Amino acid sequence: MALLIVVLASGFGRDVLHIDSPLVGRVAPPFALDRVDGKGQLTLASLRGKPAVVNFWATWCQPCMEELDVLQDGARRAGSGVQFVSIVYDDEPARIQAVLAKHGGGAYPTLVDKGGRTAIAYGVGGVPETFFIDASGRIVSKYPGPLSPLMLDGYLDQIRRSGS
Amino acid sequence: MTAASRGRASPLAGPALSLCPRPFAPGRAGAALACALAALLLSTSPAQAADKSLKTTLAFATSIVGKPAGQPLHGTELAQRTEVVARQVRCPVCQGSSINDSPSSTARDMKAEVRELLAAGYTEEQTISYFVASYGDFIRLKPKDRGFDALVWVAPPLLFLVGALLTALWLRKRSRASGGGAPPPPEVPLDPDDPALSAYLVRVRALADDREDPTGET
Repeated sequence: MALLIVVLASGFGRDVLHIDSPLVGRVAPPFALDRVDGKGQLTLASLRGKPAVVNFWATWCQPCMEELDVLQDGARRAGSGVQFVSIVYDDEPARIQAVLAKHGGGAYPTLVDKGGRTAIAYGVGGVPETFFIDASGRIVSKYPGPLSPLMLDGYLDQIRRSGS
Repeated sequence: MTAASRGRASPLAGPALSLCPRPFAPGRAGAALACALAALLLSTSPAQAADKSLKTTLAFATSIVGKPAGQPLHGTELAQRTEVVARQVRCPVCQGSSINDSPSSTARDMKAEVRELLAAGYTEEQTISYFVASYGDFIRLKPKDRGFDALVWVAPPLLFLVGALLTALWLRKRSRASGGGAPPPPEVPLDPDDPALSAYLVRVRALADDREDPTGET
């Protein structure tokens, strides 16, 4: 009985919906996706050499809308030292562009993941999810949920230090 | 991108190329440039983009699980095997359902990839391993039967046997404590004139008298 109680109690304090990503510590899966602004394609390989933030979101996701401003601001503050990319999942280009215009978008490229292949390769189970990749192309962290400015700064410090 | 759209080819790809003028003819450089641009645009038609996307997925799958180890499937067998495998993969959105049963778009996309991988010759285990590489073992609806996960299969029957054994031991101990273990002695009819009984009768009468008059005055 004592063993059973210990086993059951070990679940207290844990988020049962949280899934540890097996991609942390591994090279980020490659992608080659079209930009929503029509300026061609962007590949993961083109981001190599600098730390990168890859954010998955969708226009139908309310927390994503709140996070968008945080990321836009974070990208402007980070400057050219960190590359930000957003990948929109299961959405329409027209809606994406409307949302970006409303939020003063344009601080970084937004890509469209048709068919969800890139989201699946990254193990995305919901949006928003953000992957922090160091300069060598290795995923250092994954955060599921909307980021606050403080959390974003913490993760940016992490990827700047890693892989350098 | 749905499975249905992948099969459609662009109607303009073939004829447009044959209409392009020779690029070095005088006065036709502009038209030649327009044709070249048209050809470039047509080279990224929806069907070709889908094909490129499929190749990216297959290349990534090879890097994760190796080359296809089975035979490419098609037709009815492909549809059936797709359902069998899809029932073993958990939907990461509707986590209690398989990607075969979940209505989410993620599940739909993942099931489409299951179909593509099986059609390309990947085995059932390779296909599931492809998703495990991105989502972790959580994505398996059926736990592995080796390693720590084997506990899921072994523990229930083992605990049942332990419980049955403990219950049997407790019942046995209980029946011994209540004397139910030894058989009752056979009943022997009593003869009141039996001289062996007389001593017991005297004692019983003495005890009865003491109970009636504990003071001993009568």
